[in-house]
Amino acid sequence: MIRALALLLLMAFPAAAQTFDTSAGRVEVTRMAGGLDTPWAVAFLPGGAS
Amino acid sequence: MGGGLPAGRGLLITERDGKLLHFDGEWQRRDVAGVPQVYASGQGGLLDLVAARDFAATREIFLTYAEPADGGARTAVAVARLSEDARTLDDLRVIFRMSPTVPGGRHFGSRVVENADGTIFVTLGERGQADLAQDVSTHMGKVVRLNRDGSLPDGNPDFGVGAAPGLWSIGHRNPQGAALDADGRLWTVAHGARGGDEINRPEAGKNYGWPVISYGRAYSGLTIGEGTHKQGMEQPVTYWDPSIAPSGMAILSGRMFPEWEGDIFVGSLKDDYVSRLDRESDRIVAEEGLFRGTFARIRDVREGPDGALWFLSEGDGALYRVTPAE
Repeated sequence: MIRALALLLLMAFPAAAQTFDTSAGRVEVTRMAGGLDTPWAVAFLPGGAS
Repeated sequence: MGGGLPAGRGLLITERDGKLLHFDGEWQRRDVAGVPQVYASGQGGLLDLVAARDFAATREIFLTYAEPADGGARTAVAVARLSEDARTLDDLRVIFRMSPTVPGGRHFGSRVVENADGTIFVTLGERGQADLAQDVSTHMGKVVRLNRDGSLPDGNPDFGVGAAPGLWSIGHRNPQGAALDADGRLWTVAHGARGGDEINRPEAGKNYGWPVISYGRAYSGLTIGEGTHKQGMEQPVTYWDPSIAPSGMAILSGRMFPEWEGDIFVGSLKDDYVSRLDRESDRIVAEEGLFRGTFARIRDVREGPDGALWFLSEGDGALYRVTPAE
């Protein structure tokens, strides 16, 4: 239930960003994907169709 | 959700229990089939991945994982082709298997990075058998350099008769972060014991000292090895004591954050922050703790295609993107 609610909130406010002051000025941290189960690594796919 | 990814591009995420997820440019999520069976126990499971530099032409990705085997588990590396629709891994080839296989779920490493010359570096933990990090007949606690088909490249150092194939450097404990700097040099970050997490810049043929020298203590509180220095063993570039439990590393290009060009970013699993290590060539001159206490267990840190800083929070089960505030 709580999980479902969290998911609903996530979908309702997908780009909720938090801001932080850093040595490079103010930055925004945006949640891009959630609901991951013990994620270990992320890799960007350069070029190509998808 | 949208945003953050150039049109038509996507990303992949590993989950430790053995799932590979694909997100397309519109953030549609799908499972990718064809992942090898993993030893999902303790620290083992599906671990690192990176797309080959020529992915646009070959669709190839490199994966590291804990592989079940007779006698326990071992770190393995596979190359596979991501299908055009990103639904399956095809033509999977296991190009490296750590030797020997030992029982238990500790210290698999691992990260894989691809060099400009097409070789790959793979970082390997010592599987909880500290002394083997100094034993060149094993892959425990080593960095290896391999060709993409698993064969041995020219230019690897000579560790003598009986050395395990592929060794690049030795004496590492559990390196769970690796990245290349703009000059193509490898940097790693490894978990220490109680204290003594290390940043190193592993060079061919060198010995990084574990467990003979270390800035940590055993969890029992006893000292480890012979102290902090020894001839023939390298000092870390910097270290943490107490430990932060580092995992994941990125070195930023400065494309989006000019102030942070060349700096090293490391995730902390224990203290829930992203560490920015202010780097001047071969030295770390300062540390800045970013987002301290906000996101739980930072497992991976990467630079995105546009120069943004991205990180994975294991505790939140989420992927985050860092950009300058507008």
